[in-house]
Amino acid sequence: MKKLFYSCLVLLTLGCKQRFDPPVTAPPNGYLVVDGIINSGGGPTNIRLSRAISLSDTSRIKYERNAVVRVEGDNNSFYVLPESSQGLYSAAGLPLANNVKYRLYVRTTEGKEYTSDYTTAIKTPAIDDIRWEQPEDLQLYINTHDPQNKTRYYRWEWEETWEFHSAYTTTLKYLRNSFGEITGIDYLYPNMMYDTMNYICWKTEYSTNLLIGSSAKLSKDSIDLPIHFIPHASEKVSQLYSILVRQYALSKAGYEFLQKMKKNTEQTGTLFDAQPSELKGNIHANSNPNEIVIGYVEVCDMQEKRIFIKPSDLLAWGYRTGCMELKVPNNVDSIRAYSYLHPTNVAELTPRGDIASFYAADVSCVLCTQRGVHIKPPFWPR
Amino acid sequence: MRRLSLIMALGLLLMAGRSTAQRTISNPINLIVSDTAIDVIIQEFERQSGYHFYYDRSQFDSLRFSIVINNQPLDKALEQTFNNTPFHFTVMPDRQWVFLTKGASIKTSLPDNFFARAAKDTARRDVAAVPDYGDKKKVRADASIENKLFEIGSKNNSGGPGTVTIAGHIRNLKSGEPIVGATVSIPNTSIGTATDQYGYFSLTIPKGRYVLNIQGIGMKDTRRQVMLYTGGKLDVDMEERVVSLKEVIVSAQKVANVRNVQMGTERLTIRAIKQIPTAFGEADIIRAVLTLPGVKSVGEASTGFNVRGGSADQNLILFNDATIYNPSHFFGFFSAFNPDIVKDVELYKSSIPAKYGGRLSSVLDISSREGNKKEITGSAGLGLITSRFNIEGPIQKDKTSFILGARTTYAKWLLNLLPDEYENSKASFYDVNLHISHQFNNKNNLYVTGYTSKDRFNLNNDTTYGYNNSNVVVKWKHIFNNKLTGFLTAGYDRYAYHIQSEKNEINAYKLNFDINQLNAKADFTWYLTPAHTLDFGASTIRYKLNPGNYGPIGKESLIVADDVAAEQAQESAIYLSEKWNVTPELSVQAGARFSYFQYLGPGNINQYPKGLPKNEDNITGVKTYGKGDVIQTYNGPEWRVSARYLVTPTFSVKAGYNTQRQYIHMLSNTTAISPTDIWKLSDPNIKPQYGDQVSLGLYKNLRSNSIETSVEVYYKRIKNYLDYKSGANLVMNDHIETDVIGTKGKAYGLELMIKKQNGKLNGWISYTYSRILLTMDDSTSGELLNGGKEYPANYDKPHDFTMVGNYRFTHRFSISLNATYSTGRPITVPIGRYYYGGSWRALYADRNAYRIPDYFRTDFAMILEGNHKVKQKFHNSWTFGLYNITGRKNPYSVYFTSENGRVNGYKLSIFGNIIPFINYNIRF
Repeated sequence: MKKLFYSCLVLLTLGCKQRFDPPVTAPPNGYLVVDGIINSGGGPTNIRLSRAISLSDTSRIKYERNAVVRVEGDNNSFYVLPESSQGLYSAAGLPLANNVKYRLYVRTTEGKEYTSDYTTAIKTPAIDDIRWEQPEDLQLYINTHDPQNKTRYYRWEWEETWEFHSAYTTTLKYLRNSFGEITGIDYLYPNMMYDTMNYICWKTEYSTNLLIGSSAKLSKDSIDLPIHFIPHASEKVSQLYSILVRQYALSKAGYEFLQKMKKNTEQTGTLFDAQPSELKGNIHANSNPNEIVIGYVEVCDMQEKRIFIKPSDLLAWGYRTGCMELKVPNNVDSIRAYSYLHPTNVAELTPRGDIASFYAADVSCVLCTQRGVHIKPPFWPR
Repeated sequence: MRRLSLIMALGLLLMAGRSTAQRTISNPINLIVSDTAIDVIIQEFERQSGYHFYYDRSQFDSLRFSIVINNQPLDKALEQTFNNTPFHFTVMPDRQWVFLTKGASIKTSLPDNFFARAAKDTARRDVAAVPDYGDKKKVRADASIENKLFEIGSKNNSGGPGTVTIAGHIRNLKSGEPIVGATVSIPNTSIGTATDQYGYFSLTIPKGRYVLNIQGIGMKDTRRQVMLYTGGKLDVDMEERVVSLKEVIVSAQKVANVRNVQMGTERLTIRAIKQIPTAFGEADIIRAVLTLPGVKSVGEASTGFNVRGGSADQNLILFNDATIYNPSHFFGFFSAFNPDIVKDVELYKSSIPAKYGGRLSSVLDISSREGNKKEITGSAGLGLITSRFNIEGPIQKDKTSFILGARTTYAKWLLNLLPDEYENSKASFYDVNLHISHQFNNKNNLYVTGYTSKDRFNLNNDTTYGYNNSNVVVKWKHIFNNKLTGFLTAGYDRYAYHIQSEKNEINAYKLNFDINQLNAKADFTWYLTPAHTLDFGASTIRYKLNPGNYGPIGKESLIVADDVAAEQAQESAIYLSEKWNVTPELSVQAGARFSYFQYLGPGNINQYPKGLPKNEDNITGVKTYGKGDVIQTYNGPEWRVSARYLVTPTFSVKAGYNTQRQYIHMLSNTTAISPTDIWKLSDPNIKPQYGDQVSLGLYKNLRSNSIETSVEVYYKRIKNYLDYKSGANLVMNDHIETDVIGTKGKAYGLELMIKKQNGKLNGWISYTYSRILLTMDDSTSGELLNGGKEYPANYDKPHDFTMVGNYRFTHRFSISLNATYSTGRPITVPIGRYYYGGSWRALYADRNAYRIPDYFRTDFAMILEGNHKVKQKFHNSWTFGLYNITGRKNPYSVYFTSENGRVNGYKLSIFGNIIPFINYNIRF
């Protein structure tokens, strides 16, 4: 539907969208937000507690700290989730029983108690495949199925990591005086070796959209849905690309909750928008059933799968660095004039072997750490 | 050309004391002119007679004359020319001078009575703002017919005194088309009637001799002299006013708005509609209706409209009695009616006649033209996005005629201009109308209308949408006698839409939805006595809805075919309505309609315990009904009462009370009508909507009825209006009652209107203050919207101001200007944001608690017509214009979306720029 709208604009060359600053509305009284699942598969359970803030509030996430968080069974068993970092309450692997219903219990520092509805654990089927198609752009699909045709509702999250290299190596550095002013140019290392700390980098990004899918209308519980999209010639597949997809089974109500959240917050702006609506999850304040609490706590396990994609796997990927080197004479004035660039290598030497001129390029073309980190992830194959 | 002030003329008068009358004063004069200015006529008189004329040209203003002078002496010619005008002429044969004066005549001698007629009563009637010279027409070719005495009935059988009925058809002389709304009246009395949609009138009056004045919009006034012995028939052919500017006759009979008993009724002729600038230059019926007070829409790209706080599905849209469920094309940028076919549009928003029912808010009655009964003619129009064509003519001269119209898009070339990434986009529509009318004899007429429209679009999206309307109506009109007329109508209406997607083989699907209705009705009008007119009849509609038919496409698709069970129902009604002219001042129309709705099997009905919310968890069972079983019956009376009191001939007060029931509902959780909205019949779990309205209006005409003003106020209650629950899923849902919620509504408003229909400057200005507030406080429904407090409906726009103006510089060139302002419509905005699932997200709470910015737009158009020679093969016209001249980016909606982990607010405008348009029309 979103596409429909955009193309509609172009079709008529009339419509347009503009930024709109919302009116100042009364701040919500910091409604509790509960994000996470109770992991029934032995993996870690992570529950993040935070507070809704007003639109005009520019602060970072307002975490709910020092709360008492427990996973409670209807057989009176319970497991405490201690706060492992700001607002994150985790436990490494809960020994949950199959025949017991579980819920989440939260007591905030104000003494308010919140509980989710008791639910039985849902088994998440394994991911069959993360396949991709590439006519030009790279489209990734998730494939899964439940032979028992029971799961029907799914949610995914992905985490993508890619290795990328600077466009140019560098053997040079600027010399600076005690005021930080550039006074000249010199080799980075006396042995004229290039900089290895800023040449190879990795970068990781996480899905920000809600990725949900259902096979409820299909004859088989089988899923083949687009999950991620990488535009043609992206740097992400310049060296090696990897994506990890986590899959969770959902209850029907949990799916509907996420679908409503998605409609409210992601699928807006078309001509035929559904209007935004109130969102009610399965967590309630014990003292006031009408208090808004955001979140739907499922009890399920997690399945994950990682794949790697090399540029050679793709057809004419066509990645270009888009970087250019400039030759700069070795005198202070010239160096200072081009100081917005970063030196790469020597261009010409004087007869005495000093640097007569050198190449320089944009910082981001030389130092990959401007955009990523030079820390190889543990799962990286090479 | 000589100019002379009246004073100079009087000076000459003194000098001319000695002059005497002379009979043969000049050469005979021959002159045939039509619609000609005085200067030209005088020039001709001067040339032929050799006389000099003295007159003050400014007194004649733009008065125009149509005369036929056949070999007459000058004085006779002058008499013929100026008879029945405020002008007098004085001839001085000895000096060969003629003086033309206004109001008083110049006497060139003492009571010698040179020319008796010239001196006749100077106490002529006042001249209206728009000069009136209607009687001049007696010199026309049809003068004999106007003066002829029609003896109706036979003298011998006339018996004693008593009343008789005269009836007949009023038609266009040239095309044979019936003239709707023409008035037939007897001067200086309050006796009069108007023709119905087939040009038929019936008038019951005491026996005797009368002059019938016949007036119709766009037609030359005419009259007939009748001598009534017994009842009888009188058909009248009226001539079209080719040039209608100065020839408008304003008289006491043109006060329909004041005199009509019905209130809240608006009629727009296609002529007025064509003057209103639209986005793509093509006359648009629904957009024109939107300029009327009390009619609003949620935004520019929606053809659904809201009348007096009613939702879009509460309007009954009839095209020649066929129900049109989706009146829009191309996301609502065009309305589904071909302007070349439409004759006029009537909107009932308050006093809905008892013969209409089934919708709460309004009836929009669109009538097509009847084909030309005399010769084949047609027209074509070219616009930037659409083109249209129509052809009409006799199949059997004077008996049978047809009119065929078609319209299509050629937006393909537009799509080709798009960047490559949109190369797969497609959007197209067409519509075809056919209307055939046949006259068997004086008593029997048959009308057949066929209509089909189809839309298909797919804008670079893997999903294709399409919808179509198909309608057929057959109508038989029978005149039993002069007092009783009947109509038998049968029709079939269908609306269907489909969505399909084939991109992903596993998920390739198609979804079909359709509404089918077979309907029949009989309507009768009985002109009982001059004071009593009865309307009565019965109708029935058989509905069959296929609310969803979902299935796979291709072998690979794993989609399971799923059908939401078809629904069927029968909606029947009988009605009786009487118009009673209690006194000439007081007139009352009172009617009752009894509607009876049966929801029929086969069907499976979910059972819910009383007092518990209707949700899936509370379904206690499913009751199955067989074919033909009556599952649920709803019925009840509907009252339609209105009264008019004429305080003065140009000022009236009207009041009305109306109740309505509606058994079919459109369910939507989108802002505008979207092609995927579904319709649902009332069933045991979904109650019919019920509404009542009380209204009061004041109507006053000013300046010889050339300016109409009105004030109307109303208060309306609505019960069981369906709003959707938060996050409702309405498509392919076989327990839809769990996703909707019955609300109560109240609407009230004030509508002001000033309208000038005639003259160089014409148009209207309207202002509406109105509110529509809904309440959902039924605690057993599980979810209270906005905590059970009142909230405004999506289309609640309290202030609304509209101006529609047209100025004619010449007969061939006119400009139009529109301006419209309204309060922004309510929306639900976030009250905060929260972080969930890796992104900041907007948090919504109360529904419709905020408004989008106000709406303002001005449009401009120039209409340039080719020459008006009557006898040429082609007439053409151009329309140029600018839509939204201020270029204001009026928001259609405001939305908040999570992008890259942040919440961003946007306002979306549909027409955010100035849009130029051009349209070419040709008539042959």
